[in-house]
Amino acid sequence: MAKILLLAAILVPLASSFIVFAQGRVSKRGASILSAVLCGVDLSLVLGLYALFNKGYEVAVEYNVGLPFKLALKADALGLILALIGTTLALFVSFYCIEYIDKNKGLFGTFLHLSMYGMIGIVFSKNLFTLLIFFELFSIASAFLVIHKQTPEAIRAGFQYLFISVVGTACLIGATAILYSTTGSLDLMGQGIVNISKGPWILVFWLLVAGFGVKAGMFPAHIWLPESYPAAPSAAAAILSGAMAKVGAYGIIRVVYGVYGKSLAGPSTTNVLLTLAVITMIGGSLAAITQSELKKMLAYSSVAQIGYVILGAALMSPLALAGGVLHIINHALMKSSLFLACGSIIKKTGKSDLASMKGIGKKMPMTMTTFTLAALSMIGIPPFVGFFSKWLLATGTMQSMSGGNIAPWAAYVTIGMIVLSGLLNALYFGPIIINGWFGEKKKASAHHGHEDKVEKIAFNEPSWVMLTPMFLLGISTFLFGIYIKIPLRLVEKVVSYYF
Amino acid sequence: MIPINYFLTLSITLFSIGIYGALSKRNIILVLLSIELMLNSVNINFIAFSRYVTPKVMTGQLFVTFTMVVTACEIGVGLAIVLSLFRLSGNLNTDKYNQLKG
Amino acid sequence: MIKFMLPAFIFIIGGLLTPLFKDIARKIYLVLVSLAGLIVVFSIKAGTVITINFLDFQLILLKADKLSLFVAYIFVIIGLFAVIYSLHIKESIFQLLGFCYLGSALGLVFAGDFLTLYIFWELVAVSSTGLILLNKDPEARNAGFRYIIMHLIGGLFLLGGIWLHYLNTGSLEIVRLAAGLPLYLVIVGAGINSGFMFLHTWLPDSYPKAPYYSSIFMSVFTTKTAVYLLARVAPGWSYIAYIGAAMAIFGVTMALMQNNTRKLLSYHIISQVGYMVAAIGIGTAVGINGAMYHLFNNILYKTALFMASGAVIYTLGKENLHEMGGLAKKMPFTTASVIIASLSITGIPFFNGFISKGLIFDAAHSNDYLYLMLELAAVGTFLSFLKFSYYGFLRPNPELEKKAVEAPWNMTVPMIGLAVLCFITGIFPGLVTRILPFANDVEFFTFDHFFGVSQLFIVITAVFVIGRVKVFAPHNRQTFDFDVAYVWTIEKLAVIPATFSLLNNWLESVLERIPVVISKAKQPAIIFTNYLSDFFTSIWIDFWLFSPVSDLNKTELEPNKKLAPALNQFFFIPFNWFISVLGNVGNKIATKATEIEAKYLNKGIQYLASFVWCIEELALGKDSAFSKRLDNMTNTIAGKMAKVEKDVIDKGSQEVMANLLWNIEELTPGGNKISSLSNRMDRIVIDGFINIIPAAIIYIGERVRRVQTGLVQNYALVVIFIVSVLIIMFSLKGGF
Repeated sequence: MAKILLLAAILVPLASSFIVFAQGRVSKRGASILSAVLCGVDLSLVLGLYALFNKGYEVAVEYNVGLPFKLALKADALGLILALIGTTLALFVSFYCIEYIDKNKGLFGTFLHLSMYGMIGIVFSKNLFTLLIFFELFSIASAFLVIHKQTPEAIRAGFQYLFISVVGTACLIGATAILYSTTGSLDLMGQGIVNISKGPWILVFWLLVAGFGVKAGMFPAHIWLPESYPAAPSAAAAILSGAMAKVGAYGIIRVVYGVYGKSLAGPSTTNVLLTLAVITMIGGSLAAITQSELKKMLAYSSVAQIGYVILGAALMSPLALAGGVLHIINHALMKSSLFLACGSIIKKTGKSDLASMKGIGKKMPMTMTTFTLAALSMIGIPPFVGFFSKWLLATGTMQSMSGGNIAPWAAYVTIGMIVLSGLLNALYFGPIIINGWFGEKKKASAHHGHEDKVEKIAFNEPSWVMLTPMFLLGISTFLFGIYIKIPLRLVEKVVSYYF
Repeated sequence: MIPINYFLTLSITLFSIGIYGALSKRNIILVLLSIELMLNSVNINFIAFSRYVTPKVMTGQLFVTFTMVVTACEIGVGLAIVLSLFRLSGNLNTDKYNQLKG
Repeated sequence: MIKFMLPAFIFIIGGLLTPLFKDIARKIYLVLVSLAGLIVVFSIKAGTVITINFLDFQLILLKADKLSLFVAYIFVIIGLFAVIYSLHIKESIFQLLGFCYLGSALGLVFAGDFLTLYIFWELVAVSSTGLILLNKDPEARNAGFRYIIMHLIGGLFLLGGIWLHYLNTGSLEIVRLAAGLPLYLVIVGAGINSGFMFLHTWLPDSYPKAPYYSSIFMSVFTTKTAVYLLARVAPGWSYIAYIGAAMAIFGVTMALMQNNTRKLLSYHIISQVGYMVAAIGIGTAVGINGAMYHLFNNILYKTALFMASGAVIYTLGKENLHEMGGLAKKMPFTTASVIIASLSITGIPFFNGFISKGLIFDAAHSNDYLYLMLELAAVGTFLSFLKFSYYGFLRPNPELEKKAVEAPWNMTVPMIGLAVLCFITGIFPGLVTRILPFANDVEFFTFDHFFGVSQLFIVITAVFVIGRVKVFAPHNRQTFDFDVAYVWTIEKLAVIPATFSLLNNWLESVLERIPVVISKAKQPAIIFTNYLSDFFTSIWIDFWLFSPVSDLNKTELEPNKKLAPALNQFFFIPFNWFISVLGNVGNKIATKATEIEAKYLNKGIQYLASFVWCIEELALGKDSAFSKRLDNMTNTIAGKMAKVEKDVIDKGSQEVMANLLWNIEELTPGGNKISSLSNRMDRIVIDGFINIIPAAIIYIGERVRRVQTGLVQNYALVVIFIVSVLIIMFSLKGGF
């Protein structure tokens, strides 16, 4: 039963991508509705898996393919969190897309499902070999989401993404080869491979981090991110940033805790990763402040948030890991609602530059409410979810310091950076909120005064099809903040496995 | 070591001044500043208690940093509201803003 | 002989004879009959049993015990008052039906077996329907139709229960039924008559539409006989206690929303009957005593209230609260009786309602939920009677005050009499407790009772005074409850009368044969038949005169009145049937007479004729005065006979025929009925239920909003004050 469910959770998206493609040849709207329904099916399968896992079942499948390493799948806590996020966001986004996507609806659904297939496969992969197979497929499928608009920029960004992904995969393949030849194991879901410190383990570590970091958008490899997100449709950006970029962060957590485990504890290696994370965090925020285009700003913001997750992995303390994993969930909720709100603004006004967002709250109150909720959560105002992950990270830093993993000065600097990042978030989200609600469009100059005397406030919201998923995600940042125990229960399972 | 009472006295004094200012001042900006004062007195309490009760763990100090971020946002949004209020009616006297009157 | 001295027969026969008297003689006669009934009932001793044999059964026509006597006492007392109240009514048919109604209710109360009870039960239903139909308004006719349908259904349930009970036990004696299908069926039957929730719809539907003098009678008997039946068959069956409490609350809730005085009172009947049903459901001696005492009191004050509203209808033609008021000065007696009756019904100390409600509350004391529900209903009662007396009579209304005059003496005297009775039985409860079914050992005037009541009433008065203007003020609109659905369902039942009219067709052919048969009959038979049919057809014609069949030729019918003729068609089937039976009887008598004549009389008459002829010839001559008178007499009789034949029978059959054809034409389904109905449902029912909540919120909001200054700093001050109070509290308590 459990095995069938696990296989179904992975294979249903593959099957549904073909179904949606076929349906897309017949009816476009039908295809997008069907796509949403199939996402719901997949979500329910993953929920079933979670229920089984919760009851203590061992959910794992293994196939011998004639190679020294097996094709092995297993659902554990961290993988299930990622799968839940992915399928939930896919459901919301595909519902949103029923109206949002104008052309090639069928193709969008097809590649959405295909990337979901890759993503779920990655997060349920028990060893690096299995992961690599899905990783390759995932890179290609999600690249098609980026080039969906088929404008020259989109195609350029898509190829850039594909190229960088291939580089990342190459790193992974290299690392896999070395790892297998030195240790004879490719296990990802353990608590550290036993004889890992044999051979060039630092090289393997950095290769793995680079492979996954490229996908996540970690500092030196973040360049593809602000190119491809603005080029992709907002809905695609929402799921790319909310769920798919997290695959990279997931990989880094796996590498740090699953492949190396406690043997990595010590200032030398993790401090470099920590530095990279902090740079990603601050650099992303700083870059976001300078942007004048909403989508680009959100893309840089995503880079910054990935920094938090990697920080959680790099600090090597239970609280910090909890903060990092919690931030995966939180960021999925926040950033996808921000991107969906941004998408409905673009859909209705046709503009995405920050200057044109003045006074938009009066015309699109629901959209702007969603945006505000998610942005406040992003800044880290207490009742919202964003606060809790930052708080856990900060206390985790203290824990890490008292555990001797990092030097005290580094801990203080890190905490200062976390706080500073919150302030920077406030700096780039604050003006949008304030202008959106309180700002007024400049009265047009005297040349065409008759055209806009007193602008009558007419609501210009998209229909409920788009509003519902967007608003649900937005309000969930608040609700999960109040019932923070629900996501924390998931996170605790991960933490208790590794510590 | 300075007894904790001193910190508490300081913080309650600041808090009282803040309350007095927030309730009695007619200028909105002064009201905002008084609220800041109140928040800061709370911060002093946080740090003092954290230092005296759990000197090893710096939870209080950590929380104060987060409070400061929130304060910054609050002031940002507050000043934006004040600005748009000023643009609307041209004065900053709280007595004039009684549109909620039943 | 004693069998015909049964109180039921005194009233029924007395009623049937009413048309024989005119004017002042009738008034004296009516009072005499009710006095005679009163004396007979009061002279019956507990334990008396009168039986007759009917078919295979031995019917117990009268079986008096303390319970039945207690109910009978109040029935005859109220009968006397109601008769005096309606002395000025000129239609003899009203008094006839009223007495039949009263008589059959008495028969029901005294019935010792289920079959007798069932017969009187149906008589109660039929005669009260007649009382509703006295109003010639088509609305009232439709309501009457719905009323009779509802009661026939109730009767069928009762009959089913009786039948099953008989099959199970082989006995028809009225006993407490064990839980089971017979009991449930009987309870549904009684429930329809006593107005259980969801079965109550006929009550507020028909009472306000009956003529005001009819509703005096109607408010007394139907529901109370059902309560009596419940007390007989199901005392202590705990479910009906909750049903009763629900009725009590539901009744007052609906009553609070009413504008029409009689509709308000009708809902109060439901509520008060709810108290009785609840007390019966509790079923202890105190409970049954409370139920019966409450029945007694409720009849006193509810009749007084109905009489008062009737007096206003009679003198001013107003029965909606929003156009009433200002009557206190010009109608002092009416207003005084209303106030006393209102005080009684609400249960103010030293009025009788206080006593019986005290009994019921004492009985309910062990059950908290029940107690609370009844207490809640008491609140509603008090509020709605503050509304009734304030808006109906006390509040200033200069316009109406100019026009108002006091009602005639025969209306005010019974009202004041009832009010005085309310007051006396409130001060000296011993007068009534002596005749209660069980011995009473409850002290009424205790501190507990007073305290509970006064505390409640001070608060409610304050609520009313505050909410007088906004919340409780009557508005000119109707509030419906489930009766919309009920009206719709019963209107659909009009298919049944259409079927019946086919049957009627057959009856008519019988009817047509009557003149032929009668004309064949010889003189004595004719005279006998003539006398009987003259009498009954006078009743019949009374009905035809106000039936829509006679309207049919005069006015064009409006589409929504198309039901009325069908209804009448249905209603007059018993009469048609009766006439046909009469025809058959006449036929038989005539044939017999012909036989006798052929055998014996012919010869005798020949002798007689020759004798007469001799006298004429010999003594008086052919043109003598005697012979002329004899001729005249014969001619008159013959002419009268012909007239009756022509007027009554020919015309009647023609009209029935026309009616039938018309019916089939008109009974095509109405398309927009459902949509208009759902519209009404939306607009009125839901509105009506919900309106009271926004009204309360608006009212509270209006008051509370003045607290708001609109200045943020003031709100902050309040918050800080509350927080500091909390902090002080916590620090005094030493933490949470």
